[in-house]
This record gives sequence, C-alpha cells and structure tokens, in this order.
Amino acid sequence: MIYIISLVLVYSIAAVGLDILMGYSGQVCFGQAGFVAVGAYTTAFLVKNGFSYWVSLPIGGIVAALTGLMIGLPAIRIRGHYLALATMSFAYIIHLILVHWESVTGGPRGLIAARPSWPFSFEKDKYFYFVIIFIVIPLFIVARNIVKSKYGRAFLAIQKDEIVSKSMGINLTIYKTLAFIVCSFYAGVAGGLYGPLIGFLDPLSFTILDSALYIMMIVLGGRGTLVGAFIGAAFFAILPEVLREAKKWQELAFGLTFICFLIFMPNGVMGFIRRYQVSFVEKIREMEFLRHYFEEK
Amino acid sequence: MHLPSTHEEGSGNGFLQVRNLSICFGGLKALNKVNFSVTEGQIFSIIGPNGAGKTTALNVITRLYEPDDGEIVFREEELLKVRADQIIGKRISRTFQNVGLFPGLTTLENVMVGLHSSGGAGFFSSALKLKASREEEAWKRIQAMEALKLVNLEDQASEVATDLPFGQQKLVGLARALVSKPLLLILDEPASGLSPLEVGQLMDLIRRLRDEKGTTILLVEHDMRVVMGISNRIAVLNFGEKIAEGNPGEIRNNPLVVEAYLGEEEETGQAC
Repeated sequence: MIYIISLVLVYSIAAVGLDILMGYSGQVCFGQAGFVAVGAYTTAFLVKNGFSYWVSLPIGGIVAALTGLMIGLPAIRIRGHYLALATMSFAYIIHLILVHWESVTGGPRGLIAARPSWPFSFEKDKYFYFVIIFIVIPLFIVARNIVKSKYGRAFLAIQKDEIVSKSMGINLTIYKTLAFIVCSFYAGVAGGLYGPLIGFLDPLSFTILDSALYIMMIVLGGRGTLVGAFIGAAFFAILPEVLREAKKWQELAFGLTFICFLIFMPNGVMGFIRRYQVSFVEKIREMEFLRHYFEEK
Repeated sequence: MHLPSTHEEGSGNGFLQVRNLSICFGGLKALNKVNFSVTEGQIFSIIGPNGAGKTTALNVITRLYEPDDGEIVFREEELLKVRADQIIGKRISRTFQNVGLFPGLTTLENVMVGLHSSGGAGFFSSALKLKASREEEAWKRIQAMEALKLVNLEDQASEVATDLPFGQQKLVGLARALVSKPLLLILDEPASGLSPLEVGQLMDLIRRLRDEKGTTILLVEHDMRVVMGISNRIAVLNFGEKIAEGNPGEIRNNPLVVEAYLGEEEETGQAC
C-alpha cells in the first residue's frame, strides 16, 4: 500500500511538471519519460560512483533541466503536431542511449538504484515513503506558486494568444523555454525518486508509451489544474494493481477507460468537478432569484 | 535656415513619426510609403475603407509586422530596433480588434498581464513566494483595480473575462492597455461591437484619457461618429497609401476621401 502511494507521488510530480508545460504554456511534449530517465539514470549513476544520494538527486534534476533547455530552445520554433513529433523523437533517442551506452547505463541489463543510507538506512518502503513526501510536497507548493504568479499568467497567456502576449511584453522565447526547464526539472527529480523506489532502472520503463502515459495522466485529471495531474497519476498507478489478476486485459482496460474519459469528461476530472460546481452555484442563484421574485409579488 | 527633421511633417512635434513605411504581403502593397506624425497629447485617427492597411500600420508600429522599408521614431528612439515584447517598455500599449482576452483568467488577472513587464521579481522569488514577489503582486492588483475602475468594471474583477458581454470584454482589453500607464495608447477599432450607449461612454473615456492624463492616442476606427467626434487629426488610407490628412472638418469635405469611401472600386491595390 505504502509502495503504491509512493508510486503515485513520484508519478504525480512528473505529471505536475508536464502540466506546467502542456496545461499552462500549451506546448505538447511526448518526451516526459525521456526527462524522467535522464534524472533517474544521472542520480543512480552518481550514487553508484560514490556520491551521496542527497547530492545526486538535485544534480539529476538539474541535468534533466539542462536537457529540457536543449530541447526547449529549438522547440520554440515549432508547435502542435510538429512539437509532439520532435519531443517523441527525443524520448526515442534517450531510450536508444539507455540501451546502447552500456558503460554508463548498464544497457538492457539495467542499473541498480540504491536507496540512501545516510543519516540512516531507507531500505524499508515506509522510510523511503517519507523521503518522497518530504520532496514531493514542497515541489507541489512551488508549482502552485509558479502558476499563481506572473509566470503562470504569462504561460497561460502564451497558450491562448501568442501575438497578444508579445504585445503585453512577454518574451515568447524565454517563457516557452522556461516552461520546458521547469517541466524537465520536475521530471528529473521524479526519476531520481523513482529509481530507488523500484530499486532498479531498466530502459523498458522509459519508452514512448510511458511518455504517453504522463500525457494521459494530465488529460484525465484535467489540464492546467495541477491537482488534476495528481488525480491522473493516482489513476494510472492504481489501475494496474487493480487489474493485476487480468494482466492480458490491462492495456485494453487502459485504452477503454481513457476513451471513456475523453468522451464524457473532455476537460478531465477537475474540469468535470468545476463545471459541476458552476452549475450548482448557478442553481442556487436561480433559486434565490425566484424566491425574491415571488416574495415581492 | 535648415529646419530640424522633427518639423518635416508640419504638425508633428516628434512624439511619434512614421516615415516612408512600406510593407508587402504576397505581392500586395499593404502599406506604400506612408508618412504621418502624431503630436503629443492629441488623438490621431487613421481611417479608410476595409483593407486599406490601417491595422497593418498599427501592427508595424507595435512591431508585430516587420516592414520592408521606412522608419518609425518614438520620442527620438528608432522603434524598428525594438522587439515586439519590448514595445510596452517604451510605454506604448495597445488594444486589439478582436479583443484578445485570455480565456480562463479572471478580469483582474487579464488586466494584470498588462503589467507583465513592470516589476522585477524573478522566477525564484515567484516560485518561493518571497517578499519581493508578494509585494509586486499586491501592487499589480491595486493598479489593475484602478484601471478597471476607469472603465467601470471593478465589480466584474473576479469573473472570468471571456464570460463577460462583448462590450465589457472590449473595456477589459482597454483596461489591460491602460494599466501600464502608456504615453501612447493604440486603439484598434475600440467601438466595433459596442451598443450606441457604450460608444458614447467610450468616447467620453478616450477624451478624458487625453485631457486628464495627457495620453496620446492613435486610433483606428470605422465608426465615423467616434472619429469625427474626438479626433484632433485624421489620416486617410486607401489601398495602402495615405490620400489625405487634416482635422475632422477638412477630411469630411475632402473629395478624395469621399471618393475612397463611396466611389469606384476598380483599383485592386498595386503590385510590388
């Protein structure tokens, strides 16, 4: 159980990053698993070579952020489907590097990702769960601060209207790249937590399908809401456990539920809740209006 | 005696000068050697039939379009060396024909985007909600409320801007342009889509901006009541060329202008 909650939190932090990029700045990214992989392998590699986990984890995040900068800077010139394809190719390149750069990544055999042993051993899931909580909650608060600040407004403005945004003094190059950096940093930290949680890194955990999964998480939870990313992550971490018995139906169930969500809740769970809230508030207002109306009569 | 260049266009005092501005779109001259000069503290209108190049001129001045030729000088600074996102820093702001409010943001937040480049709280300060960013946000909120008060929309501050009626959306767009306290305010068809009552209020507001705040206004508008009612000076464009310039009385009686609006439609623009 603790393991599942940990997994939800780790997924959600990568999904929150992706939500800032896709839900707020409006750039499509099919390469989130690539950024997660960069963070995960950097952290694991450094730990293997004698660095402390507490140093390796932020370095993993920063290296992922630098990768994000490298992808984001040229990506400002393309958008929509082309950006989706470009980021997908990036994820594919990362996957190939993981498989073939055996001296660093261990190739198909993978890489051991050890849990921290300082100040005490975190071998028990229960203890590592607190590490995850300790890192995920501040990151979530920071993400919230970002989207509520002028940076969040600028991201949304860019998504809605680039021309008007420019006239408002928003430098598209800087802000689009910044969104990529934030997104990939979150992915990198998620990767640095994912490795030790699972204990082992394998190139097969970082395929394009995994990238698509992160997109499905934020679409299902509701784009541009942050909380939606968390809901989506919970859904996609718990569903495989629920369907453990029916392994061969798992992917079919994934696909079907996703299609159902797209049809019945196109704005995700959060969009659905908000719409419901609005109609509820409108009903109350309407009732109050009618009450006043009849009282006056 | 050699006159300084700022007096070349007669009425101008060198506040905003547009010289020989030309731009082509796929073989069509959208603007052809257009000259005009806006005097500080005045309302300068650009009029002309559809497709005359009015909005194009505004887009070139705010650097959204790159002209093929010409010069734009604002307060003795060459504007063509400035990027579109730096224009607001030169204290020029504008509204858009199709309003261009950001859906999903409240009215207040939309206006706050107009203050984007004011205030220097950095990314980390905002991400960690440090004092500098909190103070900046509080200041922006007050400024935005004041701008909304100017257009009488302070009660709608917390509503989603794109849910408002169209007339109010236009006013939110105006507030978003006003919030940065521009020296030059560029309005692209502010009266289109407004009710006659709202048009009257808009005219009062634009006059007040000029008379009380000393804002210089560059206006593109189709509604002749507005243009003739509030402009100090009017330039008429037709097929990308300036065919007349003068005060409202002169323009009203100019045969070329009358012909452009009512006359022949044989011309289809000049090839580049």
